Amino acid sequence: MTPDFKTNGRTEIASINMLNPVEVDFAAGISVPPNLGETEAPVNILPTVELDLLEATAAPVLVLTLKLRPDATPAGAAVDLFMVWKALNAYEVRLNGAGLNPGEASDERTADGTVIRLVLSATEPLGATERLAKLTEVVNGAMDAAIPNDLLTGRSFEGCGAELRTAA
Amino acid sequence: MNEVPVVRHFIACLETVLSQGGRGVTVHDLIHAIVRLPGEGFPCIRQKMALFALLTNGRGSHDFALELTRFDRGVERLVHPRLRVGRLDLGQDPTVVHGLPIPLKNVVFPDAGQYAFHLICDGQSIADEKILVR
Repeated sequence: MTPDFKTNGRTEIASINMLNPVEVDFAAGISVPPNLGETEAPVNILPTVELDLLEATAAPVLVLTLKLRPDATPAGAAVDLFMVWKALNAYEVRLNGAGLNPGEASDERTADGTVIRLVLSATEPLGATERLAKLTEVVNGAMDAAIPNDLLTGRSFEGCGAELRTAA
Repeated sequence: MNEVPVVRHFIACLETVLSQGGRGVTVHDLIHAIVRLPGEGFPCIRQKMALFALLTNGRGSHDFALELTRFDRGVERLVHPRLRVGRLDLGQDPTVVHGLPIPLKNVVFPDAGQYAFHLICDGQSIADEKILVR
């Protein structure tokens, strides 16, 4: 990602006043005993991992789309939406996450009826993409029913879909 | 068997250079403070820097990550979401010393103050390196 210098001031590394090297001789003038073993300081260098903090700011989110039944009531839909979040939240914790944070929510009238869209983000960023991808598969029915099916497509909702996106 | 490594060194620098054959590493230009160029404001950006960790006493595979925090009136606050470094296999010999170079790009500092990079292993901070930004 190209750095934005219009909003971020440029920097430099603060200088260090380098003192003169001071050599310390542990033998302190005494002759070193002969036949001392040679040494080395081996280091196993792990693969270099470069991190771009501007790029990494874009966190993954799960966008949930729930299609309301025509006869759904506001109170019922509110309760069922909470139960859907509760089930997904518990499943994300079972995948070693730390739960889902609700983000933006909106309702929209489409040709097929009314849909609710809810954006969920992972509290624990480490491995969030993998966990949210698994949740997407679960919601879209590509995996075994880890979440009760009637919760997603029963009661107030007749359909439920999920999409993995990157937060703006 | 899994054992979280002990961090012998965790150093901020401008860059790390691997020796030919990858048996050694040179740390260039230690960083203790980052200053804005004349006339530049906050937030400010450090396009290029690096961290280097020297690990030992570790066994098995571990998830490594990085966190950047800022000390705000005595309280340490996260200024950037946790960054995944990756899952690294440290093998089963705890006497092996592992070097982990982490080049960083585009580090944004929202304000002046004391910051800390935390090296996270399996969700726990195992080392931190403090940087002053002014």
